Amino acid sequence: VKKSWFLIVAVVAAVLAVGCASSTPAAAPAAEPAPVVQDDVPDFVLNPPNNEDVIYGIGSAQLSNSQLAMRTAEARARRSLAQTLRVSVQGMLIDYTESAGVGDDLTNTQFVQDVGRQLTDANLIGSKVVKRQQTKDKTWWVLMALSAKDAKNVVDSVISEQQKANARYAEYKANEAVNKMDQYLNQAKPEVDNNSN
Amino acid sequence: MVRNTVLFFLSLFLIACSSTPSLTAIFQPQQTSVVTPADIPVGGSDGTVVKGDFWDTTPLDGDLIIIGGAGQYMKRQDGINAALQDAARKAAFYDSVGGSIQETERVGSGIFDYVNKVDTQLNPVEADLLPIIESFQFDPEQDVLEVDWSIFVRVRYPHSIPLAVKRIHVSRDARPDWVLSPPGEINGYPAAVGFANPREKVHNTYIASYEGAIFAIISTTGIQVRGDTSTYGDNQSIFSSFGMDEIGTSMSKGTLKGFYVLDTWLDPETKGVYTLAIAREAAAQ
Repeated sequence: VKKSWFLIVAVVAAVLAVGCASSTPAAAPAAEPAPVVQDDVPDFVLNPPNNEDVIYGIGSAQLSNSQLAMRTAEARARRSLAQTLRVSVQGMLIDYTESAGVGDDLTNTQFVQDVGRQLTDANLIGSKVVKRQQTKDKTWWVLMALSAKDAKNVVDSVISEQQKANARYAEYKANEAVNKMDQYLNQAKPEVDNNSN
Repeated sequence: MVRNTVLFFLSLFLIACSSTPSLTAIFQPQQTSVVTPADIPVGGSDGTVVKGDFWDTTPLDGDLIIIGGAGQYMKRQDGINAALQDAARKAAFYDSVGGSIQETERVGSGIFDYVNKVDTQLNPVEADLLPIIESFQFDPEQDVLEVDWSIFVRVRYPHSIPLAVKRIHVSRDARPDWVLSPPGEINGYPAAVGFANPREKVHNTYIASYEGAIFAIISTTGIQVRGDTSTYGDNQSIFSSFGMDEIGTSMSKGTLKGFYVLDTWLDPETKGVYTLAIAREAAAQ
């Protein structure tokens, strides 16, 4: 009886496994996934305008709320513009390889760690939406423009901020040097005995 | 006994292989029953009638043309009064309107790790609305439209600082060009387009689109944009991991003088409303 029980369970398990398997023929070759071609991507995305006097940023967003999607696409386009004007990139790569042991006991250890950070911060004055379009998949696409004149103002303000920061740092270092000098001078000053008189 | 066991596993097999109901079928969007506004008598004074999809509010003879909206009330007159109040609020915005907008978007590696938040704030109207309403030129017979549980009024508002703007549209048979290609300025005034997706009541869609135009112009005066993208990846002998975290914020605060709506268009397909507006002066705060 135990044997027939085992047989039944094995057969049913096999049926379950076969029945729930994908209907794709096993012999079918593993085909590369076909690239998704969006035929209604706006022309300004595929062929961005080329104008020396204007800087462009493109943003897109697909959300269930089309109003929020449009605003998000605009915000992303502005961030793209800001990144063109000012971006600070920080990166750290740790590549660690260790080999220990001899012969069959040889062990290799490899560890790679990559950390990156990209910061953008800019005050955009005069950025404007020049084109927008919603594609069939409900994605909003936005083309944002900033005139070269307004872009120069942004860069100038960034340079000015940097110069101010440099000046503040120089002032801080100068104060620090003066404080240190005072400290040394105080230490070197001979103690005056007020009771000597 | 054996037969029972086989039947048990067979039923298990059938349950396991039955398809689960499609979530997309459950969340199919409901068809909205928003009615496209019919012809609204625009310019009761000059007799022109414009297709309802377009609400042309170009100034007439130096007077401002303002459309106010409200929900329907038990008494028609109460609805008209509420719509007139909305028109008066917009008239007060012509003198000055201030507001701020802050957008935050955070994207992480997790499947639910996405936050998108927009905070908008309009400064409250301080002007007394009653004298403004009394100065409106308004014909209750011609300048009222009731549609889809909303009521709209159209008023003429004489103002000492008129706008020198010409009528900008010719064709009324198609979507206006400014919807997808917003003009940065019109007749020297800064311009922008506001958009709102359909609300339950159509007048709320129009109001949201109107306010969207205010924030769109404020955003052009100056917007602080910040982005912070962090990536992390490691690859040990067996395990590897990758993570990305992105936070983007943009903040803008400003004041507009002479904010004025030139045209409003309702998309017949999506029922979204677009508002084309200008401002005489726009300044960041």
